[in-house]
Amino acid sequence: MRIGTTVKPKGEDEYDVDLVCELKADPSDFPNPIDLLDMVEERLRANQTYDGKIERKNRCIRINYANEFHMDILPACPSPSNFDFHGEHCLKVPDCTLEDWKDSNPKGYAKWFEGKARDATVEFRKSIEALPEQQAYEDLATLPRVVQLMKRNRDVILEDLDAKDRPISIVLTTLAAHYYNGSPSVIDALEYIVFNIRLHTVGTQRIKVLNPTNKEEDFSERWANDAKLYDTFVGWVDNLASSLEALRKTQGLPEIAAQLKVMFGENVTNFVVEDHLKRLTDLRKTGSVATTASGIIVLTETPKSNPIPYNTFHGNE
Amino acid sequence: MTMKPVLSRSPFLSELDDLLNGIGVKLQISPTEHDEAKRRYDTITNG
Repeated sequence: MRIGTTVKPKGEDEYDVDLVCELKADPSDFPNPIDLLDMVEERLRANQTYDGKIERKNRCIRINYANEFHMDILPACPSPSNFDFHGEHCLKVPDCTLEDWKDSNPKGYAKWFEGKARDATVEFRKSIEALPEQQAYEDLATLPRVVQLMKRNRDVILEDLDAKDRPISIVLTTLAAHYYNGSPSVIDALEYIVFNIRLHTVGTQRIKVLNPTNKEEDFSERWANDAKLYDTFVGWVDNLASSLEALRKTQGLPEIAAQLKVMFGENVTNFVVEDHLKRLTDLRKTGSVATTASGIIVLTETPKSNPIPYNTFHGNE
Repeated sequence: MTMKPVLSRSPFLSELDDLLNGIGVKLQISPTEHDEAKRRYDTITNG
Protein backbone atom coordinates (compact mmCIF):
# COMPACT_ATOMS: atom_id res chain seq x y z
CA MET A 1 0.00 0.00 0.00
CA ARG A 2 2.88 2.36 0.76
CA ILE A 3 4.15 2.21 -2.83
CA GLY A 4 0.74 3.04 -4.32
CA THR A 5 0.23 -0.09 -6.41
CA THR A 6 -2.77 -1.56 -4.57
CA VAL A 7 -5.68 -2.34 -6.86
CA LYS A 8 -9.30 -3.08 -6.18
CA PRO A 9 -9.49 -6.90 -6.23
CA LYS A 10 -11.37 -8.59 -9.04
CA GLY A 11 -14.42 -10.71 -8.18
CA GLU A 12 -14.30 -12.29 -4.76
CA ASP A 13 -10.59 -11.73 -4.14
CA GLU A 14 -9.79 -9.56 -1.12
CA TYR A 15 -7.06 -6.98 -0.96
CA ASP A 16 -4.45 -7.22 1.73
CA VAL A 17 -2.57 -4.80 3.92
CA ASP A 18 0.90 -5.89 5.00
CA LEU A 19 2.17 -4.77 8.38
CA VAL A 20 5.74 -5.41 9.50
CA CYS A 21 6.08 -5.86 13.25
CA GLU A 22 9.78 -5.20 13.77
CA LEU A 23 11.06 -6.23 17.17
CA LYS A 24 14.21 -4.70 18.54
CA ALA A 25 15.69 -8.10 19.23
CA ASP A 26 18.54 -10.17 17.90
CA PRO A 27 17.45 -13.22 15.83
CA SER A 28 19.80 -15.29 18.00
CA ASP A 29 17.49 -14.54 20.94
CA PHE A 30 15.10 -16.98 19.25
CA PRO A 31 16.82 -20.35 18.78
CA ASN A 32 13.58 -21.49 17.21
CA PRO A 33 12.41 -18.68 14.85
CA ILE A 34 8.82 -19.95 15.02
CA ASP A 35 8.72 -18.80 18.66
CA LEU A 36 8.55 -15.24 17.36
CA LEU A 37 5.44 -16.00 15.31
CA ASP A 38 3.93 -17.82 18.31
CA MET A 39 4.59 -14.80 20.52
CA VAL A 40 2.89 -12.34 18.20
CA GLU A 41 -0.03 -14.70 17.59
CA GLU A 42 -0.51 -15.26 21.31
CA ARG A 43 -0.51 -11.51 21.92
CA LEU A 44 -3.17 -10.97 19.24
CA ARG A 45 -5.32 -13.86 20.47
CA ALA A 46 -5.32 -12.32 23.93
CA ASN A 47 -7.33 -9.46 22.46
CA GLN A 48 -10.99 -10.40 21.91
CA THR A 49 -11.25 -8.00 18.99
CA TYR A 50 -9.27 -10.46 16.88
CA ASP A 51 -10.83 -13.64 18.21
CA GLY A 52 -11.98 -15.84 15.33
CA LYS A 53 -10.23 -13.68 12.79
CA ILE A 54 -6.69 -15.01 13.18
CA GLU A 55 -5.08 -17.39 10.74
CA ARG A 56 -1.47 -18.62 10.86
CA LYS A 57 0.36 -18.36 7.55
CA ASN A 58 3.85 -19.48 6.65
CA ARG A 59 5.57 -16.20 7.55
CA CYS A 60 2.86 -14.07 9.06
CA ILE A 61 -0.26 -13.90 11.17
CA ARG A 62 -3.29 -13.02 9.09
CA ILE A 63 -6.28 -11.14 10.48
CA ASN A 64 -9.31 -11.73 8.27
CA TYR A 65 -11.87 -8.97 8.15
CA ALA A 66 -14.60 -10.91 6.40
CA ASN A 67 -15.67 -9.55 3.03
CA GLU A 68 -13.39 -6.54 3.42
CA PHE A 69 -9.68 -7.27 3.36
CA HIS A 70 -7.06 -9.14 5.34
CA MET A 71 -4.09 -7.80 7.22
CA ASP A 72 -0.85 -9.78 7.22
CA ILE A 73 1.32 -9.12 10.25
CA LEU A 74 4.89 -10.11 9.57
CA PRO A 75 7.04 -10.38 12.71
CA ALA A 76 10.68 -9.59 12.06
CA CYS A 77 14.03 -8.91 13.71
CA PRO A 78 16.76 -6.67 12.30
CA SER A 79 19.57 -8.65 10.72
CA PRO A 80 22.68 -7.88 12.77
CA SER A 81 25.08 -8.07 9.82
CA ASN A 82 23.09 -7.35 6.66
CA PHE A 83 22.65 -3.70 5.65
CA ASP A 84 21.11 -2.40 2.45
CA PHE A 85 22.46 0.40 0.27
CA HIS A 86 20.42 2.94 2.24
CA GLY A 87 22.54 1.91 5.24
CA GLU A 88 19.57 0.38 7.01
CA HIS A 89 19.25 -3.03 8.60
CA CYS A 90 17.74 -5.77 6.46
CA LEU A 91 15.31 -8.02 8.31
CA LYS A 92 15.08 -11.67 9.27
CA VAL A 93 11.59 -13.17 9.26
CA PRO A 94 10.60 -16.61 10.60
CA ASP A 95 9.51 -19.19 8.02
CA CYS A 96 7.36 -22.07 9.33
CA THR A 97 8.04 -24.45 6.44
CA LEU A 98 11.78 -24.04 6.62
CA GLU A 99 11.76 -23.71 10.41
CA ASP A 100 14.42 -21.08 9.87
CA TRP A 101 14.90 -17.37 9.23
CA LYS A 102 14.38 -15.85 5.80
CA ASP A 103 15.83 -12.56 4.61
CA SER A 104 13.69 -9.57 3.83
CA ASN A 105 13.75 -5.77 3.60
CA PRO A 106 10.31 -4.25 3.05
CA LYS A 107 11.19 -0.67 4.02
CA GLY A 108 14.31 -0.63 1.88
CA TYR A 109 12.28 -2.10 -0.98
CA ALA A 110 9.66 0.64 -0.69
CA LYS A 111 12.39 3.30 -0.81
CA TRP A 112 13.95 1.65 -3.85
CA PHE A 113 10.58 1.53 -5.64
CA GLU A 114 9.82 5.16 -4.80
CA GLY A 115 13.18 6.16 -6.21
CA LYS A 116 12.43 4.30 -9.44
CA ALA A 117 8.93 5.71 -9.68
CA ARG A 118 9.86 9.35 -9.20
CA ASP A 119 9.56 11.09 -12.52
CA ALA A 120 9.74 14.70 -13.58
CA THR A 121 6.24 15.59 -12.55
CA VAL A 122 5.41 13.77 -9.34
CA GLU A 123 7.06 13.72 -5.94
CA PHE A 124 5.98 11.28 -3.27
CA ARG A 125 5.08 12.19 0.26
CA LYS A 126 7.03 10.17 2.75
CA SER A 127 5.36 8.33 5.57
CA ILE A 128 7.00 5.30 7.05
CA GLU A 129 5.35 4.24 10.28
CA ALA A 130 1.70 5.16 9.72
CA LEU A 131 -0.42 3.57 7.02
CA PRO A 132 -0.02 6.13 4.23
CA GLU A 133 -2.96 8.25 3.23
CA GLN A 134 -4.46 7.11 -0.03
CA GLN A 135 -2.91 8.92 -2.96
CA ALA A 136 -5.29 10.48 -5.41
CA TYR A 137 -4.82 8.85 -8.80
CA GLU A 138 -3.64 12.12 -10.33
CA ASP A 139 -0.82 12.26 -7.75
CA LEU A 140 0.32 8.76 -8.57
CA ALA A 141 3.52 8.50 -10.62
CA THR A 142 3.53 6.57 -13.89
CA LEU A 143 5.29 3.48 -12.52
CA PRO A 144 2.68 2.58 -9.87
CA ARG A 145 -0.02 3.17 -12.50
CA VAL A 146 1.68 0.69 -14.81
CA VAL A 147 2.06 -1.84 -11.98
CA GLN A 148 -1.67 -1.52 -11.23
CA LEU A 149 -2.50 -2.28 -14.88
CA MET A 150 -0.15 -5.28 -14.95
CA LYS A 151 -1.71 -6.69 -11.78
CA ARG A 152 -5.19 -6.19 -13.16
CA ASN A 153 -4.28 -7.84 -16.47
CA ARG A 154 -2.79 -10.80 -14.55
CA ASP A 155 -6.02 -11.21 -12.57
CA VAL A 156 -8.17 -11.02 -15.71
CA ILE A 157 -6.06 -13.32 -17.89
CA LEU A 158 -5.38 -15.86 -15.13
CA GLU A 159 -8.82 -15.61 -13.57
CA ASP A 160 -9.33 -19.38 -13.70
CA LEU A 161 -6.26 -20.03 -11.55
CA ASP A 162 -6.15 -19.78 -7.78
CA ALA A 163 -4.61 -16.47 -6.72
CA LYS A 164 -1.69 -18.41 -5.22
CA ASP A 165 -0.83 -19.90 -8.62
CA ARG A 166 -0.66 -16.53 -10.39
CA PRO A 167 2.60 -14.58 -10.60
CA ILE A 168 2.92 -12.74 -7.29
CA SER A 169 2.62 -8.95 -7.14
CA ILE A 170 6.09 -8.35 -5.67
CA VAL A 171 7.65 -10.08 -8.69
CA LEU A 172 5.65 -7.97 -11.17
CA THR A 173 6.37 -4.80 -9.18
CA THR A 174 10.12 -5.48 -9.04
CA LEU A 175 10.37 -6.29 -12.74
CA ALA A 176 8.33 -3.22 -13.68
CA ALA A 177 10.51 -0.94 -11.55
CA HIS A 178 13.70 -2.57 -12.83
CA TYR A 179 12.82 -2.01 -16.49
CA TYR A 180 10.95 1.29 -16.14
CA ASN A 181 12.36 3.79 -18.65
CA GLY A 182 11.21 6.93 -16.82
CA SER A 183 8.53 7.74 -19.39
CA PRO A 184 5.60 9.81 -18.09
CA SER A 185 3.32 7.95 -20.54
CA VAL A 186 1.56 4.86 -19.20
CA ILE A 187 1.37 3.14 -22.59
CA ASP A 188 5.04 3.86 -23.42
CA ALA A 189 6.22 2.66 -20.01
CA LEU A 190 4.01 -0.45 -20.08
CA GLU A 191 5.18 -1.46 -23.56
CA TYR A 192 8.83 -0.89 -22.68
CA ILE A 193 8.59 -2.89 -19.45
CA VAL A 194 6.73 -5.82 -21.02
CA PHE A 195 9.07 -5.87 -24.02
CA ASN A 196 12.07 -6.13 -21.72
CA ILE A 197 10.58 -8.76 -19.43
CA ARG A 198 9.75 -10.83 -22.49
CA LEU A 199 13.26 -10.41 -23.84
CA HIS A 200 14.56 -12.09 -20.71
CA THR A 201 12.00 -14.89 -20.57
CA VAL A 202 12.24 -16.23 -24.13
CA GLY A 203 15.24 -18.45 -23.36
CA THR A 204 15.14 -21.80 -21.66
CA GLN A 205 16.80 -20.48 -18.51
CA ARG A 206 14.54 -19.34 -15.72
CA ILE A 207 14.92 -15.77 -14.54
CA LYS A 208 15.37 -15.05 -10.84
CA VAL A 209 13.86 -11.94 -9.26
CA LEU A 210 15.82 -10.86 -6.20
CA ASN A 211 14.97 -8.13 -3.74
CA PRO A 212 17.15 -5.28 -5.08
CA THR A 213 17.74 -4.06 -1.52
CA ASN A 214 18.55 -7.49 -0.07
CA LYS A 215 19.97 -9.97 -2.54
CA GLU A 216 19.50 -12.74 0.01
CA GLU A 217 15.74 -12.56 -0.61
CA ASP A 218 14.54 -14.33 -3.76
CA PHE A 219 11.04 -13.10 -4.58
CA SER A 220 10.75 -15.80 -7.24
CA GLU A 221 11.80 -18.71 -5.03
CA ARG A 222 8.54 -20.59 -5.61
CA TRP A 223 9.45 -20.95 -9.30
CA ALA A 224 12.45 -23.06 -8.23
CA ASN A 225 10.13 -25.62 -6.65
CA ASP A 226 7.32 -25.57 -9.20
CA ALA A 227 8.15 -25.22 -12.91
CA LYS A 228 4.44 -24.85 -13.75
CA LEU A 229 4.30 -21.54 -11.88
CA TYR A 230 7.16 -20.20 -13.98
CA ASP A 231 5.47 -21.42 -17.18
CA THR A 232 2.33 -19.58 -16.10
CA PHE A 233 4.35 -16.39 -15.64
CA VAL A 234 6.04 -16.71 -19.05
CA GLY A 235 2.70 -17.46 -20.73
CA TRP A 236 1.14 -14.42 -19.10
CA VAL A 237 4.02 -12.17 -20.25
CA ASP A 238 3.66 -13.50 -23.82
CA ASN A 239 -0.06 -12.87 -23.70
CA LEU A 240 0.37 -9.30 -22.44
CA ALA A 241 3.00 -8.56 -25.09
CA SER A 242 0.67 -9.86 -27.84
CA SER A 243 -2.25 -7.88 -26.42
CA LEU A 244 -0.21 -4.67 -26.45
CA GLU A 245 0.81 -5.36 -30.05
CA ALA A 246 -2.84 -5.92 -30.97
CA LEU A 247 -3.78 -2.68 -29.16
CA ARG A 248 -1.28 -0.79 -31.33
CA LYS A 249 -2.93 -2.14 -34.46
CA THR A 250 -6.47 -1.15 -33.50
CA GLN A 251 -8.28 1.59 -35.37
CA GLY A 252 -11.06 3.63 -33.85
CA LEU A 253 -12.56 3.59 -30.38
CA PRO A 254 -14.76 0.46 -30.78
CA GLU A 255 -11.71 -1.63 -31.68
CA ILE A 256 -9.63 -0.11 -28.90
CA ALA A 257 -12.45 -0.76 -26.43
CA ALA A 258 -12.77 -4.39 -27.54
CA GLN A 259 -9.06 -4.97 -26.98
CA LEU A 260 -9.10 -3.20 -23.58
CA LYS A 261 -11.98 -5.43 -22.49
CA VAL A 262 -9.88 -8.51 -23.24
CA MET A 263 -6.98 -7.05 -21.28
CA PHE A 264 -8.66 -5.44 -18.28
CA GLY A 265 -12.20 -6.76 -18.12
CA GLU A 266 -15.55 -5.75 -19.54
CA ASN A 267 -17.11 -3.68 -16.75
CA VAL A 268 -14.20 -1.40 -16.06
CA THR A 269 -13.63 -0.80 -19.79
CA ASN A 270 -17.30 0.00 -20.40
CA PHE A 271 -17.22 2.65 -17.66
CA VAL A 272 -14.05 4.19 -18.99
CA VAL A 273 -15.10 4.24 -22.64
CA GLU A 274 -18.45 5.78 -21.66
CA ASP A 275 -16.66 8.50 -19.67
CA HIS A 276 -14.29 9.05 -22.57
CA LEU A 277 -17.11 9.45 -25.07
CA LYS A 278 -18.97 11.79 -22.74
CA ARG A 279 -15.91 14.01 -22.40
CA LEU A 280 -15.45 14.05 -26.17
CA THR A 281 -19.10 14.97 -26.66
CA ASP A 282 -18.70 17.81 -24.17
CA LEU A 283 -15.57 19.01 -25.96
CA ARG A 284 -17.33 18.75 -29.30
CA LYS A 285 -20.16 20.92 -27.96
CA THR A 286 -17.63 23.63 -27.18
CA GLY A 287 -16.04 23.20 -30.63
CA SER A 288 -12.66 22.12 -29.23
CA VAL A 289 -12.45 18.68 -30.81
CA ALA A 290 -11.58 17.82 -34.36
CA THR A 291 -10.59 14.85 -36.47
CA THR A 292 -7.28 14.50 -38.27
CA ALA A 293 -6.97 12.85 -41.65
CA SER A 294 -6.48 9.48 -39.92
CA GLY A 295 -9.81 9.86 -38.16
CA ILE A 296 -8.34 10.11 -34.68
CA ILE A 297 -9.97 12.50 -32.30
CA VAL A 298 -7.64 15.30 -31.20
CA LEU A 299 -7.78 18.80 -29.78
CA THR A 300 -8.22 21.52 -32.41
CA GLU A 301 -4.75 23.00 -31.86
CA THR A 302 -3.44 20.23 -34.19
CA PRO A 303 -2.77 21.75 -37.63
CA LYS A 304 -4.72 20.55 -40.68
CA SER A 305 -7.64 19.21 -38.69
CA ASN A 306 -11.28 19.60 -39.61
CA PRO A 307 -13.53 20.64 -36.73
CA ILE A 308 -16.43 18.27 -36.09
CA PRO A 309 -19.71 20.18 -35.90
CA TYR A 310 -21.76 19.44 -32.82
CA ASN A 311 -24.64 17.16 -33.81
CA THR A 312 -27.82 18.39 -32.16
CA PHE A 313 -29.77 15.42 -33.53
CA HIS A 314 -32.44 17.92 -34.56
CA GLY A 315 -32.35 17.26 -38.32
CA ASN A 316 -31.35 20.06 -40.71
CA GLU A 317 -31.12 22.88 -38.25
CA MET B 1 22.00 28.50 -25.66
CA THR B 2 20.50 25.04 -25.36
CA MET B 3 16.95 24.39 -26.40
CA LYS B 4 14.73 21.77 -24.83
CA PRO B 5 13.45 19.39 -27.51
CA VAL B 6 9.71 19.58 -28.01
CA LEU B 7 8.35 16.07 -27.92
CA SER B 8 5.42 15.51 -30.21
CA ARG B 9 3.01 12.85 -29.13
CA SER B 10 0.92 10.76 -31.45
CA PRO B 11 -2.78 11.51 -30.85
CA PHE B 12 -3.44 7.76 -30.90
CA LEU B 13 -1.00 7.20 -28.01
CA SER B 14 -2.41 10.14 -26.09
CA GLU B 15 -5.87 8.66 -26.43
CA LEU B 16 -4.61 5.26 -25.27
CA ASP B 17 -2.97 6.96 -22.30
CA ASP B 18 -6.27 8.65 -21.46
CA LEU B 19 -8.12 5.35 -21.58
CA LEU B 20 -5.49 3.44 -19.58
CA ASN B 21 -5.46 6.18 -16.95
CA GLY B 22 -9.25 5.94 -16.86
CA ILE B 23 -8.95 2.24 -16.14
CA GLY B 24 -6.37 3.03 -13.44
CA VAL B 25 -8.80 5.36 -11.70
CA LYS B 26 -11.40 2.60 -11.63
CA LEU B 27 -8.88 0.18 -10.12
CA GLN B 28 -8.16 2.42 -7.13
CA ILE B 29 -9.34 1.29 -3.71
CA SER B 30 -12.22 3.58 -2.73
CA PRO B 31 -11.58 6.21 -0.03
CA THR B 32 -14.10 4.40 2.22
CA GLU B 33 -12.24 1.11 1.89
CA HIS B 34 -8.94 2.83 2.53
CA ASP B 35 -10.27 4.65 5.62
CA GLU B 36 -11.53 1.35 7.00
CA ALA B 37 -8.14 -0.30 6.45
CA LYS B 38 -6.45 2.66 8.11
CA ARG B 39 -8.79 2.47 11.11
CA ARG B 40 -8.03 -1.25 11.58
CA TYR B 41 -4.32 -0.65 11.11
CA ASP B 42 -4.30 2.16 13.70
CA THR B 43 -6.19 -0.05 16.15
CA ILE B 44 -3.57 -2.78 15.86
CA THR B 45 -0.53 -0.52 15.92
CA ASN B 46 -1.81 1.52 18.87
CA GLY B 47 -3.25 -1.39 20.80
